[in-house]
Amino acid sequence: MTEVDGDASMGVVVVLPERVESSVEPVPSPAVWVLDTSIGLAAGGVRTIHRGVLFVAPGLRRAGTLVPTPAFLQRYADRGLEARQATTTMVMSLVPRVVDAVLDQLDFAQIVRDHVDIGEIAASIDIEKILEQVDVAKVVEDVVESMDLPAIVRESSGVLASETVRAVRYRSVSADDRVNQAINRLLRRKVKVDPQGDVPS
Amino acid sequence: MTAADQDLGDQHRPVHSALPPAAKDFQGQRAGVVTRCLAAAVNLGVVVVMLAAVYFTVAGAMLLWDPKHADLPNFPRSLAVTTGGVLAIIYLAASWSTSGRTVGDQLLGLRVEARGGERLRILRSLLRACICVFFALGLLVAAVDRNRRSLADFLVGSIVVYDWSSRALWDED
Repeated sequence: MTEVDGDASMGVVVVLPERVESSVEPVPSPAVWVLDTSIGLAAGGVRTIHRGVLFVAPGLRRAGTLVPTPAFLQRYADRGLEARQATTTMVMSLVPRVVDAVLDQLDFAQIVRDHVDIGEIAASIDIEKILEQVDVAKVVEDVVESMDLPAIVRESSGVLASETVRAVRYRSVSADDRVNQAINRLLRRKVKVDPQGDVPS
Repeated sequence: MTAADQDLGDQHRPVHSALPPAAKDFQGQRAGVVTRCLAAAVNLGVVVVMLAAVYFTVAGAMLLWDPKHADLPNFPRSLAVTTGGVLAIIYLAASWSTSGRTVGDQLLGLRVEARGGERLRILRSLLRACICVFFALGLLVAAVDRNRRSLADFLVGSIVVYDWSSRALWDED
């Protein structure tokens, strides 16, 4: 009780209920009332049967060992066993399909977006504590080992060097060709024209 | 491709994948006289630097030996030329017999090798270096020879090819 209203001097005290919302619950319709009652009765019946079985089971077990089971009862027992096994098999085969069908209908990403505060979870993660448990030096060492660093340096420096001297090389190669052509003309040699632009002989 | 072209363009070696497409066309072909002269000029510069290094090393040693005479030593020119020649022969022979390239060759994208494409052995490299040093003008023979061979190439049986790849040619051996 949290609040007291009224005039104490008049000796009248009104006590308000703590859970106000419980007082405004809707009254169930007659059909739902009947359903609830049926479920309650069924649950009570099952509970009673369960208790009765638990009560008589030790006696039955003892009696079963002393008195031979009649043949007609054994037939029913066999049929019951078969039915139970068939039902179990059917249910076990149905469960994965039902679960799959249900999972297919669910959009987990949307559910997580709607109901999970990822920011709050992220804020609760202690990154420093995790990093303390990680051997960063070892990780870096493994990464460096997995990369062929000398080869990369060699390649990149080679590319840089070739960028720098490539123009000189091209010019000298074309100068070689021009000198070669001039000498060929001077000596009146036959010049073979190579379609691929190779150095003429 | 004709036999002469085949002789001129020995394309038996793998072409480096990082090469520009235009350069792949002439990789492995015989190098011309201009490129080879430029490489020789660079090599000359390297030898001069080596000679200077030797000179200053000797001068430093002499200074430590006799600190009172702090002047730079004045060697006779013949000694400088002889030392330079010896340095050049050692440098060229060592380069050709190991990687097939001197610094100048590396810069200009050349490689010296035997006619079959294999590495020059040390004796042939030494002989070629001696010819190149004592008959430097023999390089100009490459300008008029149909297969771009210099005097040293004629005498030793070597060739000089374009090879712009950065890796060593004989890695697979």
